[in-house]
Amino acid sequence: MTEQAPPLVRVRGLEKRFGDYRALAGIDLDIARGERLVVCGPSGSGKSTLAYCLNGLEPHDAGRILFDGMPLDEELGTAHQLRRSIGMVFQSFNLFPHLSVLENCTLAPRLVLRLSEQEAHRRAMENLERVGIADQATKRPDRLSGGQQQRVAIARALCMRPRLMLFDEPTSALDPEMVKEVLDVMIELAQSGMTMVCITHEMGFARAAADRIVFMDEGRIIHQAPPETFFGDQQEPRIRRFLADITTG
Amino acid sequence: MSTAVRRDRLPAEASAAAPALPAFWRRPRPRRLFWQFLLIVLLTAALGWLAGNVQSNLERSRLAFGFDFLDDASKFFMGPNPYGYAPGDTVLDAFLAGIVNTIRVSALSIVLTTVLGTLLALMRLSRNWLVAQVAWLYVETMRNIPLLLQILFWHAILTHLLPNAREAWKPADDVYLSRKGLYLPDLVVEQGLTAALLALLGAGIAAWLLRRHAIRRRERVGHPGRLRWLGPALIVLLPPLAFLAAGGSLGLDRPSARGLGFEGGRWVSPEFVALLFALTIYQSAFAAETIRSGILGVRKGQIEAARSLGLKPSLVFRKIVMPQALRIIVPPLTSQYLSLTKQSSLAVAIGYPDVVRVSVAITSDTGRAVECIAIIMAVYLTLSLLTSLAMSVFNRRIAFVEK
Amino acid sequence: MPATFPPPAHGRPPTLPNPPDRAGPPRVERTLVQRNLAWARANLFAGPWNTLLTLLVVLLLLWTVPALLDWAVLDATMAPADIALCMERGGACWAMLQDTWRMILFGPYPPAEHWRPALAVSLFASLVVASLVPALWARAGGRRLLLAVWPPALLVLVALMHGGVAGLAVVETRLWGGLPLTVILASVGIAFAFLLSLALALGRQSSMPVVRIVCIAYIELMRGVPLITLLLMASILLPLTLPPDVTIHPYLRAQLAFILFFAAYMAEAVRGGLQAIPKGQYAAAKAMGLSYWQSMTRVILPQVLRMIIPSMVNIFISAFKDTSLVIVISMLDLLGTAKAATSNPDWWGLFIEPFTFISAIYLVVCSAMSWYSRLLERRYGTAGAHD
Repeated sequence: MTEQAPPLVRVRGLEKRFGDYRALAGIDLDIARGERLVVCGPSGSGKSTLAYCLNGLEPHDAGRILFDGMPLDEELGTAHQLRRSIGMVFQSFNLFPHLSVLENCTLAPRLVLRLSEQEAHRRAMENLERVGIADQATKRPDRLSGGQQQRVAIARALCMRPRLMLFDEPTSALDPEMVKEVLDVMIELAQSGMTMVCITHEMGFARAAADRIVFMDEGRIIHQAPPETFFGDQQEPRIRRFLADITTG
Repeated sequence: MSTAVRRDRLPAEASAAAPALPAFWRRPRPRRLFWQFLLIVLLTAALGWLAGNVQSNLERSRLAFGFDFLDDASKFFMGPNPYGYAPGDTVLDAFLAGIVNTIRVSALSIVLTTVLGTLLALMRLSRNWLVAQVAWLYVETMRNIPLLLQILFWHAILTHLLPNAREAWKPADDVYLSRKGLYLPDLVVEQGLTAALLALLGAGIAAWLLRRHAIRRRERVGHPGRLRWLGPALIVLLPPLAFLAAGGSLGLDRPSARGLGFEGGRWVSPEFVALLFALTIYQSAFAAETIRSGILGVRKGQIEAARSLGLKPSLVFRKIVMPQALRIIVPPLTSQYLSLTKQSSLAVAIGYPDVVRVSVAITSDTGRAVECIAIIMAVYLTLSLLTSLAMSVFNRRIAFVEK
Repeated sequence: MPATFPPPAHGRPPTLPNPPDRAGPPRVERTLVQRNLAWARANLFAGPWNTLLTLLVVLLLLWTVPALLDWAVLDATMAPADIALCMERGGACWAMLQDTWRMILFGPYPPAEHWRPALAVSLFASLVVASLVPALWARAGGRRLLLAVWPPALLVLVALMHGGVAGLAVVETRLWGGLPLTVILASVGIAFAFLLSLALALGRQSSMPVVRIVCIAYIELMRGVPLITLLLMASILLPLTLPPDVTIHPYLRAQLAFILFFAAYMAEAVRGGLQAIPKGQYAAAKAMGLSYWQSMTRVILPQVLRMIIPSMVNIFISAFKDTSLVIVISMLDLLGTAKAATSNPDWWGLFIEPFTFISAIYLVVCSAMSWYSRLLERRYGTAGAHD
């Protein structure tokens, strides 16, 4: 946005179709280094698709994504390279059930970054410590609660030392009493200066940690604003209805 | 391609030392194309080499690939068979007789397997401990002993333990049981068969129409009407009446001892019986497990819901459990029947003239190995294809779509 | 009225002492006999229909078991004797097995050297059993130990069977037969078919259409034809497809047929597992920057293999039983030697005894395999993974 430093991510005219369905209908978005972005919108608005496209898990059909100046495109062979710099936290955790918590965290650093066993272990423990779950390191993921699993998933992503973190509705598969422990970790992460894109309906988190809130509907960005203006004096009727729905629902 | 991408870059970033794009051959699409191209080349080369070898080997033994030998006379000996083949008929006839024999033994075994398998499955599910244990023992034993061993065993029983033809057992008049097989009097229809068959066809169509009418009527007025028995009655009564009306008469073809064997009558060969027994006994153990797990696969909630509506246990089983279980059972059971049909080819080990046995014999008579194997594969692949077509129709029509 | 009753869901008035639906009848110590009687009433004589069934089965058993016992034990001839004595006594002629069991187990292998295949098979069996102990392969150290032990062990096995080293006489492979041949055909076949099946299953799910079509065509072709046609192809057709100066050992030809055939069935089992892995696992592995091969070998396949243990073991059992088909192409595996024993002129006409003997061997091996698969299933709770 500001001209002195180029944005970490620049998205122009991004489109994605699933058959006849247009999941993304032309997205333009810049994400500055260190910026904390919250993306929200009704279900089916294309939020998750955006996250999946931002790290190349879904190839896009049109438009382009530049990550730190590099085009991110499966066909150019860059998506695989860049993906290691982009951490992703999924709605359903997606921990590897056959590996221990610790092995979940060391797998990619060892295979992708070619770290030594000790180095990978040290980094994993450091991040597990950071999300407050180091004491469970030897357990299998299915022994942990949902909240704990999601914190492990965050630690696992952090072990790659990503330059961007994507969160795809990280709390929506959790029981209500576990949401806070995950949000606390995310707030701590936001305060540490990590560039983050969070797809979430947790407006409390958005108020506390976001620099900017992006509202999507029908595959487009309808509105974006800093939290004060977004929540303060909202003129857009669709957003007002959305905000009313999620606070009452 | 890479210059096009460079142009995408924004001026502010051009100065930044961004890493170069991956080289052309490291990109996914060229790599995929390369591997696929390589695979095609390798496969073509390998198949071409093999085919070339076959051709030069055939030339060396003065044979040419082709199916013209199917019209030659065949020396292969086969006893009385439903197709009616006899030595001296064409090779094609021999193959067709073999195919009919394969289908005959498989079809009969499939029917018996279904009956025995269902019985065993119900026994295993029985609350009676003793019954369940007996069925369990059967299943565990029979499915863990190789089928070929069982075929040889039954064949040995039938050819070793039975008396020879001169001292054949006569459990009834005109019935002879010996190492030569079982000879029974055969029912011969001398006249009126056509009339009876036509009547059967007519009765079948009429019964079907009546049934459709009854279903419509039930949908309309809630009761199928009082003529429900008419359809089945037509099927049972009409053919014999037509037969009698056409002046039909039945005759018996009695077997008689002649020389070292028998003549006339209906002949059931020991090979057929051994194969039928072994196939049925072996496969029913597997069928029992398939059927049992299908019945167990019906959700508990379904049964509880039916009970809570006040249905009798027998009605719950017939109206709630079985229809749902069938949807689980039929697909795996069908592929099991297909494998039963394929396994009937083990007939070759005891000399039952199925399609494989015929083709092995004809290979050694004519040296047409490539053609004969191609014929067997074509026969079985056709059967498999037909079965999977039938399955996909079934799946589309009946199988439920869960989730 | 409703207000006086407790809520229907879980409530029960706490005032009722010892509510009948939970604690059952008043607890009285029952004797062993009483408990057994109660069991029998519930499991054997619940209602007239059930009692009738029980009686029918008991009658059936009374009819068959004594006859079987007479044949197998009471009227049987144990000691080495000639066939005439067996015929006279009418029961099983176990004497025949005393005479022929070594021939059945080891086939045409030179009798003086029978200890070698015996040792080799026992060694192999103990290695397999040791490798199957979960405590060993579930740990990295144990896996390393197994990987270190297997290659030299296989060399020792080959040396034992073939000879030519350490003063052992050379025994040509055409003399190998019986149980060792069955074990070799089955284990080599299973091992290579398994590796091939992984490639086929991954190929069938590949994003490259040519690879996918080739794999589908191969799998469907193999599953569409009987194993016996493949064996016939290997013995009749394969020599035709090679230059005249190249010959392949008959054993290798049969082995090749087994590998190609069972790989197709195993590939379908693996594919079932691949499809059952949640999409999120693929996405997570990719998002971490793992390459295709890394995510397959480290994330997807380890989960798939655990999930498909039951169907895989069923294929292994089939493969073990189906090695017996080699008798159709005149190889002497366990069934072949037993069949040969039935035409032994000294014991002419006896076939139940040798067939019973090898049935017992097949039964033990196959039951052990399915028992082990159920053990693993329980250990990994794979049964629950399908829901």
